[in-house]
Amino acid sequence: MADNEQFENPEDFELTHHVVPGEPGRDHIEEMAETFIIEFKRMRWSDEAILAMFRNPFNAGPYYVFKERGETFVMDLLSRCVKSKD
Amino acid sequence: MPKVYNWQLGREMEYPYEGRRSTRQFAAVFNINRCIACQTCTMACKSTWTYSKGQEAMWWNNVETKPYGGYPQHWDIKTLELLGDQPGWDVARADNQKPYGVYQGETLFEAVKTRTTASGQQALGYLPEAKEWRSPNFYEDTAYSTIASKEGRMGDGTKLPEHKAWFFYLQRICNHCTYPACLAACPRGAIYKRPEDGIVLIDQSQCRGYRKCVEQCPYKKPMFNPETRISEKCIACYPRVEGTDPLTEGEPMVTRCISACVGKIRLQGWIDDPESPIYYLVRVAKVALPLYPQFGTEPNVYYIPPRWAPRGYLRQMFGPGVDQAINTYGKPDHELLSVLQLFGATQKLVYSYKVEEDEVIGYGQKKQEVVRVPIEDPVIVRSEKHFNVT
Repeated sequence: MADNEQFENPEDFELTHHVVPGEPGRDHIEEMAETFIIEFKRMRWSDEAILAMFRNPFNAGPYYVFKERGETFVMDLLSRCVKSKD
Repeated sequence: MPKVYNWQLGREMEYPYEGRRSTRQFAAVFNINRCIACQTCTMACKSTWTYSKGQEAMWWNNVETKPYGGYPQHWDIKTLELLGDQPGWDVARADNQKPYGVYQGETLFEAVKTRTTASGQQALGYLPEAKEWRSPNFYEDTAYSTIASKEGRMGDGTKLPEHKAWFFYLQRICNHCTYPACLAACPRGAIYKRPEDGIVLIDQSQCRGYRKCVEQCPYKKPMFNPETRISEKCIACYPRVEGTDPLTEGEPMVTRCISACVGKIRLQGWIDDPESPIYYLVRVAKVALPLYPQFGTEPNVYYIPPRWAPRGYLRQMFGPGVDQAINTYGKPDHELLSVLQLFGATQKLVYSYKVEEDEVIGYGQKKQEVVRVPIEDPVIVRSEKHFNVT
């Protein structure tokens, strides 16, 4: 490892930036998930299709929510969004 | 230097050439709220235009994760730093002709006169290093949440760093600017803007690969091909826009990235035609905003900003129209809801539209109907006998 280091420039692909803070009192991730649900509901996707979209690792945004917050969170949000629309 | 009028800034500005607007201006609206970063647009473009030798690291369409992601890395941060602190916008002077008020700072064309040492620059800019073009998905969904350790390493490498605050996806193609910095920068005059549709192209026979366009385009969308030793850029799929694809029998089509979009987040049209849905979204409903209008190039790809991201960040990126755009978008009226249904509804280019009670109709170049979409589908509950629960 130490031998390799002299041939590498660790700066090139180092993640070095600091946090750009969110706004106090807002859960930006929940808001993002809620927006995805509303948007795809508007496109007439079924609840099952939307949940499948969150489960799919190829969909980076929804999958991040699914991975971080879990399926129950997504399902609760889904039913809440549908109710609020009614 | 001649003066040209930039409606996004609400004022005249300096530009190296006389202002001549095209008959029609190519434009698109991207709805960030719908993007799930599946990268289908990216691959549609890649497999159509940039699959040759020398184009391996070339992505005319890319989707990057903000605030950290960028292709090339940190392109916007670096350009904003070059521009420096600016006085901002006088929003009190906003009206229909100046929807965001009047920009009081300097554009990249104006700032270059006093703040660069490079000779011959027409717009403030920098040339990214080769390594900055690599890894277009760097920082995607794994942004670092704490300041790097003393050694600059990511802990012990057993767990990837995760960013828990907020992020959104920014979909980027060439903006086919009204006042392109790439065009202004080219010492060969090899870049031109088509008078019939405003699409900005590089004449491959004239380019000698000086990379001035790569240096001075603030959006970093011209790219250098190390194999051919000349520059290339997004061509707005102009054969499709011209209607030469046999699929639609001569009818103009939208670009590959726009037609391939899974989330139907994109709509293409003309910014200067009051009948176009694009004109409605940008100039009437004012829900779609230009990307970094303060750069001064009058970009023609517009964005519906994400509802969930911090407003301060969004104002810097899309200008002072952000709050109104998000408020209007959050509670869409009948017409806005209708126009939103046209996104991704057809491969044909929608020139105008008509809103009816339950449907929105899109019309093509010859005023013929090209698409008809229900604004809200009726909910039909099947009888228990036929209820298809699996």
